[in-house]
Amino acid sequence: MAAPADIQRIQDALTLVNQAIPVVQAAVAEAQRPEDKLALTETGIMLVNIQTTLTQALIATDDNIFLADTAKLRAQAGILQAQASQIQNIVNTVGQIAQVVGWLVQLLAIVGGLP
Amino acid sequence: MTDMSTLRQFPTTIVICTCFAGCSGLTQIQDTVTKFDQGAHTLSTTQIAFAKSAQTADCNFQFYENVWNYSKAADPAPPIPLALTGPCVPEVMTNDNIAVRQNLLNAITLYADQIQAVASADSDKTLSAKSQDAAGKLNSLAKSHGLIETNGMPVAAAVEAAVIGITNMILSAKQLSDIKSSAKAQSANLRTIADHLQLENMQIAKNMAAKAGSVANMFETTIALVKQDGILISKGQSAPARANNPQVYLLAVSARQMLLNTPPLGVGMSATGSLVQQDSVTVASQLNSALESLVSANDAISNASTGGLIAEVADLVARAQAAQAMQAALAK
Repeated sequence: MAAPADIQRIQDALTLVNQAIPVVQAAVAEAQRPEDKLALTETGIMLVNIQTTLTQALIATDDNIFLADTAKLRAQAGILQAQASQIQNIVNTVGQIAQVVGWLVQLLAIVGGLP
Repeated sequence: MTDMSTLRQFPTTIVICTCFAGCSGLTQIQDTVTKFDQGAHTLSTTQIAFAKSAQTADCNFQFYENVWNYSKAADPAPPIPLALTGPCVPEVMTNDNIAVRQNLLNAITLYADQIQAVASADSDKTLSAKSQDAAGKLNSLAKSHGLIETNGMPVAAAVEAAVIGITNMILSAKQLSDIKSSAKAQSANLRTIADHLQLENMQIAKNMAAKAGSVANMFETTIALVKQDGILISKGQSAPARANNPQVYLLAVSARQMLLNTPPLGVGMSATGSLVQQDSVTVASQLNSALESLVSANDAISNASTGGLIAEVADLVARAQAAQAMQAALAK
């Protein structure tokens, strides 16, 4: 059974992902350069995949949270980390992305703290 | 003589009037509790339909993500297989998840059936043999930690206890006589199950909305890339003649048509003409309101007067029906 601290981590991660996804998806429309759209779309897809894994964890466990998907989350976070550095370059053209980059840093720290 | 006759009839008249008043009150409560039961059943079927929509959304997203990854693979080695057909394995709402959800909803509907039976004039308050059997199986399942989610984990202990509490009541229904105390005894159990379902509903809805948005992003970005190539070609800067402006237009039109026709990721047009992707969140909100009404209506059965009860049950029925209609539109 997962520790309460890990349950809290999953919920905190979901809060960040739920916040970040609509902003990233809106930024795709705002971005002018196709390359920026591409990078943001890739980040959005990975965030949706992470949200899916976290949602599955939440649904399947409630307070008896299971962390069998931790390895999957860690792999997804690794890809997201590489993408985060790519979208860092878009900050100058799409203002909202600065906020998202901050959330992603927090998200990666939370996922990294999972057992 | 006439006066005496009237006087003799007076007590009888009082008794008859009292009986009518009492019977009328009882009938009113029975009628309202019947509606409570109907509302609970409507809510239950809509919850399952919503969960199945989440599965469909997940499978559609998996398809578009696969196509996206396939299309960006520049080198055939290592190849990313294109899965145009074949089975889908939902990740967010698995068949196991739906089975657990169905069990929780069965506990709610069996409870609503039982409350209706308690409200009846019949001296035997037990449900049918079939319902008793269902309650017994559910009770055993919960007691043996058999409400298993994906990856073999049981549901939360509090949810398990709530299911046991409700089914215990159904299995000992012969002892029930007072509807108010019966409803009061299950108030906390209903609250626990409703909280669990509400949390799931909203997160599932956010995931569905995110997937719809992500698919739209894939289309939008693809169109932008095709357009860019077209511009380069028109300037003689690039050879691959795979795009031009008419193609971009056609791609955009077909992408929109695909989005509109992809249930339940399908997006509708708002009054202002913009695409709406929040349908799943709206359905989840309505489902959660209906769950809230269910708990409130049960509290009204245990506490309030007939008037208060009628209002709460009317609210439950209206919200459950609205959720059902919204879910039907989402699944189109």
